[in-house]
Amino acid sequence: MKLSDVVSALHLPLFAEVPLLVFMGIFIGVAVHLLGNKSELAQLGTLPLRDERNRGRRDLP
Amino acid sequence: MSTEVEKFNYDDAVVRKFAFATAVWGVVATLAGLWLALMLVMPDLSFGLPQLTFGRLRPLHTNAAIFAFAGNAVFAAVYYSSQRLLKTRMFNDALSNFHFWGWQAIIVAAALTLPFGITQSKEYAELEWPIDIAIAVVWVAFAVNFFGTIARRRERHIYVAIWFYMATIITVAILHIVNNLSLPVSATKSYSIYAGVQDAFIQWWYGHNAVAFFLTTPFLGLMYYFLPKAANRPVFSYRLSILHFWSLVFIYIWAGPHHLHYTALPEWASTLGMLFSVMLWMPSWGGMINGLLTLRGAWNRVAEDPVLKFFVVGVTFYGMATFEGPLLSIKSVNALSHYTDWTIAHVHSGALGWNGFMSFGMLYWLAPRIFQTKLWSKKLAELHFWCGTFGILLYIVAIYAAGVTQGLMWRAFDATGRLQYPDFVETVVRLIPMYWVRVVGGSLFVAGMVMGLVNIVMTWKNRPASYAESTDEAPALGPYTGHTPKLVVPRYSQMTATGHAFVYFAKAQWHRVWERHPFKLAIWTAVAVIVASAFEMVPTFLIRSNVPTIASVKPYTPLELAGRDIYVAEGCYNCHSQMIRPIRAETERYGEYSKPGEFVYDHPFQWGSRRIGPDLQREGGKYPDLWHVRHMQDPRSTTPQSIMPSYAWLEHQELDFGSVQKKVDAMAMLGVPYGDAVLHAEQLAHAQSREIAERIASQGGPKHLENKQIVALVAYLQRLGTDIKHQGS
Repeated sequence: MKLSDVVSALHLPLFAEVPLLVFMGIFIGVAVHLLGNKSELAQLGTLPLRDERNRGRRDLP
Repeated sequence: MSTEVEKFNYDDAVVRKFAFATAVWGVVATLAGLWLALMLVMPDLSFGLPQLTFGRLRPLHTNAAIFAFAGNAVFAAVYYSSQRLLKTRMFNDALSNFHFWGWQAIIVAAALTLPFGITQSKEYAELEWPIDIAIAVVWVAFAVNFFGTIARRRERHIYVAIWFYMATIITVAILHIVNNLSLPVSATKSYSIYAGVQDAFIQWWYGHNAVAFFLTTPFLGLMYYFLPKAANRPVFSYRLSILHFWSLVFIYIWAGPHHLHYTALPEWASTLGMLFSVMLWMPSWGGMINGLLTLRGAWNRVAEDPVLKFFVVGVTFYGMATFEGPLLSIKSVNALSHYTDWTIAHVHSGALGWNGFMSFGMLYWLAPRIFQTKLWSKKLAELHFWCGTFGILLYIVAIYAAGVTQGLMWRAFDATGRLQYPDFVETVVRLIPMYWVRVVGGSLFVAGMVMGLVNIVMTWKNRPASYAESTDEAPALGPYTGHTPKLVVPRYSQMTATGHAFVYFAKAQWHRVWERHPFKLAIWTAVAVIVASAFEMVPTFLIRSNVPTIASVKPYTPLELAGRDIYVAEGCYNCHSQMIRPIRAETERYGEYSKPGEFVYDHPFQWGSRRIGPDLQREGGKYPDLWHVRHMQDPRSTTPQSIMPSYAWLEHQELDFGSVQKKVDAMAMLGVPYGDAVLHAEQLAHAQSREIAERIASQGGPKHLENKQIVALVAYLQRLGTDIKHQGS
């Protein structure tokens, strides 16, 4: 018996729904996390503006 | 924890190299595009040279735009921003240089092979196996350098731009390897290990995610770093950027099958692709709004700063393209748009508007910093912006109009229920004025790219005699001493272990841990991509009802196989599809709709994605052999208004009979049941070529064609779609 025989015989009517549920679970988890860490995350969002203390560059526009 | 401040410098030399390469390849890629646009209205521009035909040059244009122009822009962004966000120099300068020179060598190899017909014929993955291996090696060097830099960082939190880069590196590696698995026949020829439906599925899983993870996620990383820098404002919502990241990683990877609606792909896969594509609307627009709102309080500067102008238009095009993408994935819209120029307009709004403008916004911001002098001409940058903007608008409006016109004409029926435009060329002629507008728009965009290159070169020429080191300082990263939430089940708790696990998950503290552990983040990103891909691939490959076999479908004869390789080498798939959708307008025009079982021996599939010329799936037996010979010699001798280039050399160039046996052997190794042909493929090919050559001569055509390439191509074209005709379908 081949693997394709097994998978063909499985009849997976819910196959496409499983990833939707997985996605929703992760999405909700990340959203909950983000809602709970407002000030800390806002601070982390400023990282690009804090990344060069010494410029070593001249004549910037 | 160590509090000693360490001083270090950044490697901007590699950023300068990638920035230069971006500007140079940008001009090359768009010039090639302009040449191709001209060929649609002046087909003789190939001058009878095989290397200059549309079919061979189009992959050169797409590869140059994606991998040379956008690729180098991404690498410039990654090397500049990663060092600063992670507060460390790149892990290894030698690897950085290997990455730069290796990537440029790959681009040159592409430019040297594609015009010579050395191609796998998979869109955006045309390069043959030795170059694919080189790409994998260079990519691994890049990955080692990138992750090594992360490991040596002095900043604990991994900023979201780095997450986007990480997802790019991991996913592109997976996509590249899986899609390019092939069996080599020679140093310049290989056959995909997948066939027909499976090959199409894998290709568009790759094709769509090349857009997602090569042209979207790294550019979002670029946006989340360079836009705040240019606006001197933090990103509007860092929380939204994290949500944007995970939503894209989870959703994008599923969306590929929307490229194959109404084809022989199983219905469930097509629907799943559509559903996830529509779901992409929200995170994409969330990201666009996040980008635009980052400019809050800085909008007054947009009028005077060309960098911000480029970024604003770039992000706006991201919004437009990501609105249109899900729209085109809806089956009823796709029925109209697929195979038409609408798709081409969509792609260019993304590639020129989003990738092009974000790249040049970044280059204009970077140039004074990496060359340590003022930008040579702000006015020229402004002119570039306006030329580019008007160029894109002219280009896409003309091509949208062309696409909708094409789609409507293909499906138009007259009052008697017959096709209103039964001759395909009628629909081609109608588009010519729009193709001219496209040339004008494209010329404006190319002019802008040249201005950009001149500005970068002149800024570089004004550089100081020696560059000052770009230095920074930060304390070394010690062990983490903060709170780390763990999943603990108290001994006397009234809640079950599953309940505790649920609460731990719902509080999502695990995400906070991942943000400090980039390798966990990388692994979970890879898991998300692999699991999502497996959910679609496993049933496509393993459920037999998805690809029912058809008893009358037989392997190509050795000569037909050689002819098919000529079809592949000439890039015919760039203009002709081999996929008749189960739509009445299509079956009326082309014949019986395509069945999955018809393609089981097609390594690689040749369904195409566009119809500049008609579908060829049922071409076999439609015309006499001589018609094909005349048509290839001069397409306008059989179809006066045709815009197809001449393929006259096929009548003079010798067919390489010596390679036929090897090709058949390779196909047999891939499971194609060749039977006796495995033992004497060359003799069989000679016998069939003599038969066809005699027939052509007897029809009044040229004599002694039995050793010429044209005979093999005619054999292949006359076979197309005939297997199920034999069955009487």
